[in-house]
Amino acid sequence: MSFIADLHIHSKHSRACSRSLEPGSLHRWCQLKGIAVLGTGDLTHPAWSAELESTLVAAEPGLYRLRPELERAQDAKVPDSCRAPVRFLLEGEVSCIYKRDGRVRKVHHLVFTPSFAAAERIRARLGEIGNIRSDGRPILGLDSRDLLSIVRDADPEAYLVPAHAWTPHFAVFGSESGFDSLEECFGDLSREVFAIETGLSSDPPMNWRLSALDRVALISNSDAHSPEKLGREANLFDCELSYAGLFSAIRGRDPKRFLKTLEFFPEEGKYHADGHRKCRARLDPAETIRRGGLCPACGKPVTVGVLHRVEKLADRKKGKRPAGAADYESLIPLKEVLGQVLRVGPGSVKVDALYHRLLALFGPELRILREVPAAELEREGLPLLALALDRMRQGKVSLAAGYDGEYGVISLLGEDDFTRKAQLSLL
Amino acid sequence: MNGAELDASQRAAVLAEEGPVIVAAGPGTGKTRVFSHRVARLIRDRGAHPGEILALTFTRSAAAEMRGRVKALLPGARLDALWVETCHAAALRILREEAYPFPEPAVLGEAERASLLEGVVPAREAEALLDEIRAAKQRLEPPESAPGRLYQERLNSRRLLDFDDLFLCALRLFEERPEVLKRWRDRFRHVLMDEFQDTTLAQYRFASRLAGRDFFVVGDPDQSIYGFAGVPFDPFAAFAEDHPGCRVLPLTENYRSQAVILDAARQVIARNRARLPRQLRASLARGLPVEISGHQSDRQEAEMTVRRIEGLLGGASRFSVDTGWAARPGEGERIYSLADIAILYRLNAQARLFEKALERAGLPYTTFGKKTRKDGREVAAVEDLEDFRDGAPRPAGESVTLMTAHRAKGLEFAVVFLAGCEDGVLPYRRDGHPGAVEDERRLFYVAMTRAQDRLFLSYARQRFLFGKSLSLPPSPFISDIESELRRLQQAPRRKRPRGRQPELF
Repeated sequence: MSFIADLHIHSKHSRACSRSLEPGSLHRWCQLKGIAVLGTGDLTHPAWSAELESTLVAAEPGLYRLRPELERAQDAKVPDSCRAPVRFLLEGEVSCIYKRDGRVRKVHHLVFTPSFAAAERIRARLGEIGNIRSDGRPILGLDSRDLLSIVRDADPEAYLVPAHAWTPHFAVFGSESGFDSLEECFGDLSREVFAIETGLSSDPPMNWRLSALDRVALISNSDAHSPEKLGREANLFDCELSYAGLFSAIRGRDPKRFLKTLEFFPEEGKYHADGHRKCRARLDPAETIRRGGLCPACGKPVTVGVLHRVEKLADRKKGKRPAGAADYESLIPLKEVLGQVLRVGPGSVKVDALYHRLLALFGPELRILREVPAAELEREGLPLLALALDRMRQGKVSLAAGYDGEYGVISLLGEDDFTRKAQLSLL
Repeated sequence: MNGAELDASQRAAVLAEEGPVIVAAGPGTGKTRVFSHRVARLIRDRGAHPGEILALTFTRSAAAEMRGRVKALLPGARLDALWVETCHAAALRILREEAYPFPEPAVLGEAERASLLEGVVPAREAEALLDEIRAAKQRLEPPESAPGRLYQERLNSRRLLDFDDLFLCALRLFEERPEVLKRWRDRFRHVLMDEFQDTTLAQYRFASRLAGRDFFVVGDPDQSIYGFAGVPFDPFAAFAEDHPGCRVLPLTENYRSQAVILDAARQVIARNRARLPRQLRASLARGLPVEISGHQSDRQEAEMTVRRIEGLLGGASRFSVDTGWAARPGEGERIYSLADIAILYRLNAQARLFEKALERAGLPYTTFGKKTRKDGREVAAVEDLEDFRDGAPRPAGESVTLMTAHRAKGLEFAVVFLAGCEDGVLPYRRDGHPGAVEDERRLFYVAMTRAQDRLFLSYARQRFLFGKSLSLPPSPFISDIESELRRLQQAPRRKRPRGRQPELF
């Protein structure tokens, strides 16, 4: 049976993250979202790790679950339609700032361990090098290659995956302070890197344009800074439910076990196109090149986005799909869809009420987005939602790409839809 | 300047005929290069045997670096007999070889000195007494007070020497046994001394006893910052007196700092009497002005410094990039890495607020040195000689450096923040003590000239120091810098980062 895993989140101990990112609410929100396996986030943080150790118990090998009494207390707040088991997998993110070949590099990395003991070994090493207590995503002056070496030495099953590999400021391929290849970044250990996280602003077809990435798996995660954002990107597996099962499916790039990734439309990501947020200038890569990389408003260099960076490093045209690549689906968070349907903000009370009504009726958010037939939604008196989700699933959307930290806007409905549906509902 | 090339003034120093020579080496002029080339040349071109050379450095790490550089200049040469040592280490080596004054002379660690005074004086008086003993020994006088004599007896009965005894003993040995001195003098036909400006009387006497005709010293009187335990001693004057007709060769090209930084530093030091002619020229481009910022409090100074550091890193976290908390690099600015950046201050007590602010920002840092005394002297003077980097292993990762201006001597950083530029902190002044403004100005000069690309000076209108709240005016040294070279930052008001409230992404 297939299941969804979101392997990169943060805890309340990370900078600019919600206070409610604690084990109980994560357990509950996974059910609302339809996530079976969740990364714990912040495994390098001593206090978070201690809280996890006291609230989680071992489940399948390398996976953990909330203590039964804590599970029961949370489950009581979850509608029957959404209830399902939830597993945790030990995960954290480490930010490295260092100089290599005369250039400043800033790279974020995901770290996974199969046990608390392995996580503790990594903490011990990193604690000698820098401060791991003040931020759940610690900043260390450590070379990425040396971090990989520390992770590898901690446990044969501890893994490192470059995080949101394309974002401009903090990524292995980032335009501002990254590298042009995994080999350049990880040197003699680069073959140990078997996957990259594509991030919100890129999707698999963009990554397929680099033949150098054919050998690595492309995974997608939410990088959630609040529980509501869990699962906004995720991975769909059909494999043994265990740490080894998951990573064997990823490492093996086996399309029968690692089925697909659930993606943002990459245009919605904050760093898809080029531009300057403060100048409200969005540029597509061709225009950036035409303007010599400078902002039309202020004349300073623009922040070069993910699409541009991919095109720069790509050695293939669009459309080719490497053998063994996992499939993907592009989704839009349900609250954003509901906001468009109700013509109110996605954070409004109206949206929230409808969101929870839908969850109670149809089950978790990802099931609603991906599976619930349009006809069922129409039967519930939600024809516009049916129409919007139908378009999303077919990729018939109108896009205004994100740039320089500004989220993109994906429109599912036009003015016509509202008048037509309004008339229909009168009939 | 790359590879083995020397500029004209460096070449003149390296090739100077053997004899008494002072190389006046301003900051960033390549004195280590000159020193190592001089040693290599003696061996390669002048037929000196490595064992005939005694090269004295200030710290152990400087000795290690110097040895490495000489090796690199003389590939394949056997250098086992070459002495590249600190003065202390050289003295100890000689005493050990001569089995003087004990068969196996050993040195008492700095930290253990106080233990010898147990039961002699109350613990709170121990520090002052140890200082007194040190000061006496550096004047080459044995301790005379009753507790001082007791200290020495205990030391001797344990067959131990303290650091200062090393020179006293070596000089006594040379005096008592002229044939021993002759043997060593015959051996070391070439004596070279680095960081000559910080040589103490005892060290100078030790080195000059050993030195024959070829005595080559490199230093900069403007960078003399260790008024050692308050013993006034001018090694350059002593050298000139002992070696009439010695040559003074200046190194003239600064390769370290952007011209603006060097010019600003020269304007500051120009107010001090010049003990050797100053002929320093910038060879790098002009660069960005020295940034000067005033703050309401020391706390704000620390916060804003760390915020500026985040900007220089090009944003250290997604939070600071996405919210605009870290300013984007401005006109002509580039971004830096953690190891490029140092925060320097006058007193170790100033470190704490910076440490806390860096912790809050989650930035890695390394603080060197833990304690400054109320009289503003560096406790660590001797540990410095034995080198702070040898004590604890350096972490493998990069970090922002925090250290006193004293400790920064001999180091360089792309970006230097010099904090606490207030009249009373830098120059440091104790209640009722006018302080030696010339000494403090040299320290300020040393701190400024550590910077390669960017120099930031800051002061606070309110500071909490040694249990007191102080309101001090900005340092007079700041106004020595002419306005074209500096840029004043408005004292920032407390406000939220610009733009919208960050969302939780």
